[in-house]
This record gives sequence, structure tokens and C-alpha cells, in this order.
Amino acid sequence: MQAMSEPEGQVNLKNQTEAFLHEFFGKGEVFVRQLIQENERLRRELNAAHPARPDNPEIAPASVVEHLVARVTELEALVSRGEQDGFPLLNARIEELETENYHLAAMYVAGLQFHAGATIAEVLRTATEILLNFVGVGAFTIYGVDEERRVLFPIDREGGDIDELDEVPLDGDAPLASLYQRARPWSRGDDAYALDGAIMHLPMVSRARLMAVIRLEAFLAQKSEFIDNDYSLLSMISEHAGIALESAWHRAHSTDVPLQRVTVEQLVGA
Amino acid sequence: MTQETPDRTSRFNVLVVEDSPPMRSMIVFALRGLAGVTVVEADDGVDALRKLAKEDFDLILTDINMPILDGLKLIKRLRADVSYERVPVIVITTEGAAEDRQRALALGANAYITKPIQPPVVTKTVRKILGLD
Repeated sequence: MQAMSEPEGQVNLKNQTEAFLHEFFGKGEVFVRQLIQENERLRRELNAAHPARPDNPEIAPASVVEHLVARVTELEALVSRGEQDGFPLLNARIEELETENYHLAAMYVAGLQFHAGATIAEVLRTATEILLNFVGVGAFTIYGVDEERRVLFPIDREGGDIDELDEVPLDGDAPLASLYQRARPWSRGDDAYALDGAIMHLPMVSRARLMAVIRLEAFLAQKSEFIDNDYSLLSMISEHAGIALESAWHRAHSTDVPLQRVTVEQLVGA
Repeated sequence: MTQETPDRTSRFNVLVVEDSPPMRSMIVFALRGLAGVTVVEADDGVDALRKLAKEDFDLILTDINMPILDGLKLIKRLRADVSYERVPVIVITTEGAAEDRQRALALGANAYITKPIQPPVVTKTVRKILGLD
């Protein structure tokens, strides 16, 4: 295996940063020297023009020039120290950006998967994979809605036996039932409806129609609480999975017909 | 599916074995910044063995819970085969208990990462094992 020192992106960024800092401080040093020279020149001119003047005022006070020179020296030392330590602040920032990029990519992938799901099983599988792999919830139950019988029924469970669970009446007092009455997607800051020992109850909603509810019961062993990025994924599940479930439900009850120009034009109002 | 980084001079061939398509995409995404690394994806242990028979890999990243042939059985098969016994394996899994980690390492895994993954942890581990540091 051939050794490599750094990923190309990091090397490029570091090289560019070093080059910028060297150029910046190089220019700063030149500027201060020019300032000192200009100060000396003007002072000589003033002295020549007003030889009888009792004091010889400086255009830029010596203290200011000294301060600037000291600052340049200090910043040069900072750059030098950064080079020796491997730019810890820069590396920390790169890691931060990498994590943020990863989160954005996770949101993109999750959204894509939901909208690619053609069946209810595919949509629920995506929700399960995101909760397990991206958020880190290890135990949860997905309840479907039976609008005719007015109950929520357990449809899939991770980390437990689904046969242990009962149906939940939609018109009762249970937290799950309140989600049916509320019928809007969850977003950060909303009530978690976790009254019965659950971490939270996540509704999956399409417009004002509750399609399913996920009862989050326990984190994976290595996780103890949500982090910032989890909330946007939970919110995405609540909204996008609900829409995807309703589309899948419609698709399951639809009849495929050939595309027709007349009908398409009517539908788009052309 | 094979994804190559912008660096065309690939020096390392990495196999990612994961049955969840979104998770597989995210592992590939996490590896994208490693110059000179080509990533090949496999759906499960059997698919991984099929791909291993066709080309050489410098590193394998595998999930544990997969249908057909899970990650632990895959490691067992690899370590019992002279052709693959030295190929480093990183486990990436939801199983965070100490005994799960011990079991995987005892079977011959070189590193153990739990989900949800942190990209810097994945890239640091890969860089260390490939000798990129």
C-alpha cells in the first residue's frame, strides 16, 4: 500500500490557508515598514518646513507603530505555532463541516428514499432504517390507522415482540389518540406526547390526515439522547413519510391507465 | 455500483457491505473525501464474497445484521480463507454492547464502529488502517 499523508481536500484547504496567511502577514509587514518610512519622511519634511517649531510632532505616534509591529510578530508566532501543531482549529472546523455535510446528505438520502417508496412496506422500511441507523433509536413500534374501525394497530416493531401489543382506540385518552385529533406533522418544539414512558410519539401525517404513528421506546445502547441533527430527521419522517404513505395507499388502490395528452392537458389546465 | 473519488489514481479498493441502501449511501458519502479510494458496494455477506472473488480489496467495512449472510459469519469466512485472512475488516453496526464488540474483534475484526456513525470517526479509522496517516 502506498502511503498518503492527508485526504486531497484537506491538503488543498490547508495549503490554501497557509498560502493566504503567509501572503496576509507578508503584506502586513511590508505595510508597517512603509508606514514607518512614510512617518520618517513626513517628519523630516515638517522639520525642514518649520525649523523653529518647538516640538517635532509625529504623523503616526511611535506607540501605534510599535503596537502594529508587535501585533505582526504575535500573529506570525501564531501561524508558526499552528504549523507545528497541525492547525488544530482548522482541523476541528473541517470535522465540523464534514459532520454538517453528512447531516445534509442524510436528509437528502432520507427524503429521496421516502419519495422513491412505492409501497407502504417500502416507506415503513425506510422510516425504520432512518430511525435505527441515522437517529439511533433501537426500540420502537409503528402503528397504522384503521379509519373505519377507529383504532391504531401495531404494524411493525423493532426491539420487541409485536404480538404483545394491543390496538389503541382513536377516540380515547391515550397519547397516541391525541395525535389523531391533532393531525399535523411534528416539528422541534412540539409536544413529544411521551406521557406513557415513551421517548416520544411521532405522527406521520399527510396534510391533515394521520397515516401512522411511531412510538419511540428506547435508544440504542450507545446513545442516550437526541442531538441537534436528529430533530430535523424526525421532522422529515413525520412529514415526508406521511405523504409517502398516503401516496402508496392511493397507488395500492388505483388502476393504471395509459397516459393521454388530452387528460394530461386537462389536469395541468393547458 | 462503484463510486470513484475525483482522484483517478485509485490506490485503495474498499468494499462496503451493508443491506440498508440509505445507510450504504451514507457510508460511501463519508468515505468520499479520502483521495485515492475506490468504493465498491455489496448488499450482504454473500454479495460481498461474490465481489471479493472478482477483485482484490484493501479494506472491508461491514454491517453485522444482514440477511442471508451476516457480518459476523462473513468475518469468520474471511479469516478462514488464506486469500482474505489478512484483509482488514471494520464493523459498522447498531450493536453497541461490549459483548458484541468483543465477539466481532475475537472473530478477527480490526475495528468496531457503532451507528449512528460520525464521519470523522469513520474516516480516521479507515485512514489509520490503510496507513494514510
